[in-house]
Amino acid sequence: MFINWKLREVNLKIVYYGPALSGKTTNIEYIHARTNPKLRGELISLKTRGDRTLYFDFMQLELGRIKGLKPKFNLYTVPGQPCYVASRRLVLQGADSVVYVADSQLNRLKANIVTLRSLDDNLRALGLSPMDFPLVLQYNKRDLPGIAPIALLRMQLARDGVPQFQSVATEGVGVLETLKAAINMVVSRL
Amino acid sequence: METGSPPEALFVRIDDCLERLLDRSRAVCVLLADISGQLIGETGKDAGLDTPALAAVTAGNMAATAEVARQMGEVAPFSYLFHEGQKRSIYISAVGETMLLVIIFDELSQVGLVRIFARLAVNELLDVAAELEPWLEQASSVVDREFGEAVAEGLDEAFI
Repeated sequence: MFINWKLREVNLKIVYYGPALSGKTTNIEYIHARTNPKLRGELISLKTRGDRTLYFDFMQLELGRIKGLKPKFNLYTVPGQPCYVASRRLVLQGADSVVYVADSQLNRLKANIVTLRSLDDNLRALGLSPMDFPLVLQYNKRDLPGIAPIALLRMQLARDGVPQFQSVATEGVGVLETLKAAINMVVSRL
Repeated sequence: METGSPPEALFVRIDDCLERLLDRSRAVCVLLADISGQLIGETGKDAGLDTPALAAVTAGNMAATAEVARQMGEVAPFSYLFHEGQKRSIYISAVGETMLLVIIFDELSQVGLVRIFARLAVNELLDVAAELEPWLEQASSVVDREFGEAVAEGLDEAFI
């Protein structure tokens, strides 16, 4: 949490993390499209020519003042491809909560597990404890054929007490619910 | 202002410093952000810039080039970056290890001029940064459970 005392703003940073092509950018794009234009900033995407996230996507969402302070949410995605370890760690810096976007397809199960392990490693490298860190799990692409049963994904990815959501980010199913859960996890700790 | 917030005098010093820099360097806009891209202060003409997004992206830029420096065998990150555009250019300077100073300027100024005054401003801001740093991540007494609940309720109204 970052408080800008001068502007009386409370900034929360929420990072979308997950394996390559799991739908992190699609989540942010849907949130941007659904947010009241008066309350959102521009959606910034640093992409390669192949439309893959190179560095990060970023958008800001703000609410009206509460007790004299304006809450602002800074949403980031990290690039999923394994070669961008350094930028994933940089974007995680200062994060208040993480949404882990898992790809439900059975053939991506291993990638989900490996990337979740990298999240834990990166959190530890930043001096944070993965077990205590606010995390929300999203099982995306539930509309596709060849998906893993939820029970299997839970067994492989979920920890006790972690909120979990099923989603079809391309249609917006489960996207806002996931975001609200991520924000609630931070504010409920206040 | 409630107890538990930093002294107002610190922000007056930041504002004075940024405005002096804007004036002396004839820049379009000057931003001060923390290293993760959160905006701390800004001054300048209303140039239609999305300053929170600019702060986030320039912080990313600075972080990426820190890795470039490391790969090159440099012992420390680059102290400043400069990108020249057709109409506007940007000069980004580290302020110690915790903040960034961003100066956007057009043809009314020159990079040499910007660089000289940016250096002076960085020296001045280093003192302020040291005093402000402990406050940056400290939750105020007003950011409490009640605040959290109001945020959660307010979220529903943000979506259309």
